[in-house]
This record gives sequence, C-alpha cells and structure tokens, in this order.
Amino acid sequence: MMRYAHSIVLLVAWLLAGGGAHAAGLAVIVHASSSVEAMTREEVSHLFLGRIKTLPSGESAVVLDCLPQRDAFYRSLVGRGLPEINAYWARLRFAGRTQPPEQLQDGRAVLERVASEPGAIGYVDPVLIDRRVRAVLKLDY
Amino acid sequence: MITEDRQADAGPIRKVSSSVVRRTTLLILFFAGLVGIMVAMGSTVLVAREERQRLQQNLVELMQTVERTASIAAFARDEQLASEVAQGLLRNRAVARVVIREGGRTLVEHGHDAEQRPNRVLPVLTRPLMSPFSPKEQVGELEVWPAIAKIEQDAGAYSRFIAIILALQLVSVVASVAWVVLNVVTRPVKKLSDELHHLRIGSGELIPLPAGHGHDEIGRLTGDINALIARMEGMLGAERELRAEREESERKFRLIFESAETGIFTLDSSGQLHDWNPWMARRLGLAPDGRSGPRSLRDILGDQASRLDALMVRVLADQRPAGADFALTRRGTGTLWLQLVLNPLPGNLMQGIVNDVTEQKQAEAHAIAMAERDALTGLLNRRGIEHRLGDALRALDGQSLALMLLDLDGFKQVNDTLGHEAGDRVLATVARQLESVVRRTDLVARPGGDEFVVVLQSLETVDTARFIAAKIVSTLSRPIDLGDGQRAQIGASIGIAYTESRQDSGDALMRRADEAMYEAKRAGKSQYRFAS
Repeated sequence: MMRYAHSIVLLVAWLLAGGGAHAAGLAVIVHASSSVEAMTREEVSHLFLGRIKTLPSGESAVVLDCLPQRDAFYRSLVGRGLPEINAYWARLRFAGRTQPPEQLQDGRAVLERVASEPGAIGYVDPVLIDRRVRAVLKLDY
Repeated sequence: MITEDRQADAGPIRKVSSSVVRRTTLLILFFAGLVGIMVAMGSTVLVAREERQRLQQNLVELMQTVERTASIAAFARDEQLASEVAQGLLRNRAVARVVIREGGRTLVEHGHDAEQRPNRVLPVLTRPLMSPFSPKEQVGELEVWPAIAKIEQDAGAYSRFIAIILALQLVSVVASVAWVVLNVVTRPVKKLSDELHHLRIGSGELIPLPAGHGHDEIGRLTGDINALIARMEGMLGAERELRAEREESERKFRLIFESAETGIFTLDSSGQLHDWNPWMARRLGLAPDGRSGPRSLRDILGDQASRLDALMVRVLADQRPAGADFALTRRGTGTLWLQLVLNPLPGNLMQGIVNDVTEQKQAEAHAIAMAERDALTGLLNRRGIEHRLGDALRALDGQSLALMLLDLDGFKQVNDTLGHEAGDRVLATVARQLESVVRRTDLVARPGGDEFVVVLQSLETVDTARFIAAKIVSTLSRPIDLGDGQRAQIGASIGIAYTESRQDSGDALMRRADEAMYEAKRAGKSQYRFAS
C-alpha cells in the first residue's frame, strides 16, 4: 500500500514537471546516411550483445553504450539487469575476442558520435534526435 | 615297551586328528576363496559399471558447469571463448573430444579423434545451448565425447582396487574364521577325541572339561561322555561282580562234578560219550575230562551194548529218565557192576549218571547165596536145593536127572556118644566127601539134620547114577577121623529118583527118593535103592 502510494506520488510529480511533453523511451539511432531504415529488437540485441558485428547494410558496426541509460536500455531490450549484462561481458572480455560496446558518458556524446561516424549505432533519449541521425528502433519503458 | 606301544598307537591317530584340523581349515579356505573369487568377479563387473556411470555423471555435471559459458560463446559466436570452454573440458581425463556448434556452424572442435568410437555404454553426450537472454531460444549445441579408453582404464583400476580391498578383507575374515573355528571348535573336539582315545575305561578316569567350554555344546558333550563313562564303569563293575559270582558257582559245580563219587556224563543217541567226570574216567579207564574226543559207551559195555541201545531208545522215546544195571568183566578186579541212569536232553542227547553198584550186587548175591546155603557145611540148604532142583528140571532137554536122598546111618549114635561138635564135624566131612565124589555140575545139599541130597544133572544113562551112588556108599562107609584119636563110623542109605521128564515136580521126586531111601534102610543100610 505504501509502495503503491509512493508510486502515485512520483507519477504525479513527474506529470507536474511536464514529463508528458514527450513519450518515455529510448531510440536506437544510426547515421542519417545509412541505408538502414529500421531494425528489429532481435537485430539490435544481437548487435549490442556482440552476436552480430555488422549493420544490416553490411557496414561494420561501431556499437555505443550510453552510461546513464544503460540499465533502462538492456532491461527494455532483453529483460536483464546490468549485473547480468556486465557478467556476460566479463566472460567474453576475459576469454573471448568479442568486445563490448564503447561506453559514452551521456546521450549527447552518443548523438555526436553517431552523427559523425557512419556505421556507429547507439541509443539516446528520443528528444535529442536531430537530422544527422536516424532512429531505427524505438524502445518504451 | 609301554611307551613304544603308546607311540605306535598314537601315530595314525595324530595323523587322523590333525587331518580334521587341516581339513576344516582347507575347507574354510576353499569355500571362502571360491566365494571370494565369485564376489570379486561380480563386484569387479558391478564396480566397473558403477564407475562408468559415475564418470558419465561427472561428465554431465561438468557440461552443466560450463554450459552457461558455452551458451555465451555460442551466442556471441566467439570461437575463442568456445575454445577456452573446450580446453577447460578437455583438461578432464574423461573427455576425449569437445564440439561446440552454433546454429549450423561448428564453432570449435577440440580433442583428438577418439581412439574408440563412443558406444551404447558410453555415448556421446550432447547438450543444447540456450541463449543466455531468452532461455527458449537454442543458439547452439555442446557435444562431449567420453574418453572411453581412459574411463575404462579408470573404472578397471578402481574395480581392481575394490577387488584387492575385498580380497584383503576376505583373507582377514577367513583367517579370523579359521582361527575361531580351529580354537573354538576343532581343537577342543580334537583334544576331546584324544582324551577319549587314551582313556582307560574302568580306571575311574574322566575327561577333563576343556577350559572355557563349560556352558557350550563341547562342555555338554564332555559331560555326556563322562556320564556315559561312569555308567559304563558301573555296568563293568556289575558285570565283574556277576562274573565273579558265576565263576564261584561254576567252581562249586565243577567241584561237585569233579569230586563226585558218581559218574556224570553226556551221551548222544549213537552211544558216544561226550563229556565225563574224573570219577568216570578212573572207573572206565577213559582219558580225563573227555579231551581226547568221544568214546563209545557201546564199546565199553561190549556184549551188553544191545541193552544200552534198548535203554537209550526207551529214554528218547518216552522222554523220561530210565536206568539199568550193567556188569563189566574186568581183568584182575572181577566184575564191575554199574548202574546207569539216563535222562533225556534236548537235541537227542542224554545226560547220564553212573554208579558203582558192585558192592551192593555182591552183597545181594551173597545174601541170596547165604539164604540158600547151610551154614555148617556150606552146602545148599533145603530152600537152595528146591530152587536149584526146579531149575534143573526145567533145563532138562533129552537128558535125564537123578535125585539122591541120602540119610546117614549111625549118626545119632555119634552125636550122642561124641557130642554135637563131633557130629557137626562128621556132617562137614561128609559134605566134603560128597562134593569130591560128584561131578562139578552136580548139586549137593543138606536139607536138614543128617539128610543130604545130591542131584545129578545131564545124565546120559542111569548107570552113571548107579556108579556115583555106589561110590558114595563106599566112601561114607569108611571111618571118619575126628582128631584127638577119635573116629566115627557111619554109613549112608540112599534113595534114588530117576527121571527124564521135565514134567516131574521136585516134591514128587523127593517123595519117591524118600521112599526108596527107607527101603534101602529097611534092607540093611549102607546101600542104595532106585525108586520104582
């Protein structure tokens, strides 16, 4: 009951702060010149978890993590929390050849990187999206 | 000598009893060994199978351990990680080969080609690899080939180890069992057997109770044996007493048998003597106590054997005792009279008693003789001559007989003048003279007073009678010397009855002779007359 009440309080606070101006979620973005128009969740998850190393267009992919939104992204994408994702990568990094995505400090850094490097792929708050990039998958949370 | 006997005696026994100990031990060893080998063989197979299953289970667990990493490697299609996993798995001796597949592609294939193909017992183990992010999505496959040779080797080594442990355990158990059987059962039994073997029954010895076996079966066996020994000794004692009694009574009977003044014997139906006592041996001149074999009583009795046969037939037929007297003529000792009484025994045998009745017979004969004799002259008296005359008449057979009745003439005068003694002497002298005149077969008697009777038997002719009568008359007419210078002159008048017929009675002959005698007296005495 208490938790429930707390959630209601938070929701009300979020609504008053004008959070309803855009939909809550993340957008997976690629360079605007890329021929990739859209990707499935599976394609995205395989790309971010190292199973696939190229974009559907055939370009070699540069995968970028955005630290503030990492937890939300992976939870939304594969339903796993950061500890599991980190453990997964720990094994691969220790014994394997597959490298985890490059980790950037915030959404803007991700945006700038995707905008400047063809083949890069990352995820940002949809509100940051501009013409230099194209959203290929939207994730709600 | 005694110790030698003992040793010679104990030799084979020790062998036999030690063989009981050895046999028990060998049997225990044999069966335990047999069971041990079977158990070891069975356990080897079972243990090997168990070990194989255990190793296989180990492989499965091993695969489970690396499954997640293998899944990640498959998901990320990372050959290096996959290779790491494969090498990790191959570090286990039981793993021969590892293959990790991703989709249709072989991600990694490590290990050598199995020297032995996987078989039904040890198949290739395969595990699907699921996506680490969606457990329902298969991303690859982990395949592990068991190292069959190594597994078999390990299982074999382990089962051999188990077999050795079992064998050691078995050996120690067998040794313990053998030791226990030897010391708890076999040795006490052997000791008991030895004690019993060397026990001298009748000495009062008993078997000592084996130490520590007071309340078990061996103790009970010892007790029972001792009870049996005691009973046997009691019986032996009783038997000894009985035997002593029997010997004593036998001795008494033997004494009676041997010292009896009676012959005691056994006889079979053919007249053979089987046993006889010393008295009998002495009297009949037999070998002492019948050792020299049967003797025929029939032979001993000689011409009286047929009477013995009759007696035996009677005894055996009537099955009743019967007896008879037998006279044996023996050189030197005269006639031996034996009174034989036979008593039937079973089996056509007879028990006999024989008594020497010679004296009774003699006394009897003497008494009979005395009764028929005249005490003064020793001639037959009236009774004697009547008896003999009857016999002689009955014995007549074609011959003739003469009865002479003789009366002394002048005897009364001798008696009166010279006295009775002289008369008696005259009578005795006359008797001797008559006996000297007649033949040996003739009878001379003095019926009484001065009367004499002479019976001439077996006469061929009357002349013989006449001749003898004349001789008597002439002999008696001579004076008789009475000693002391005295002489007696007597004579004899004789009446003679002559007959050839056995129908005549003695009395009739006497009367006829009497009449003839009186006739002779009337005719002048000292002469004879024949009865008409």
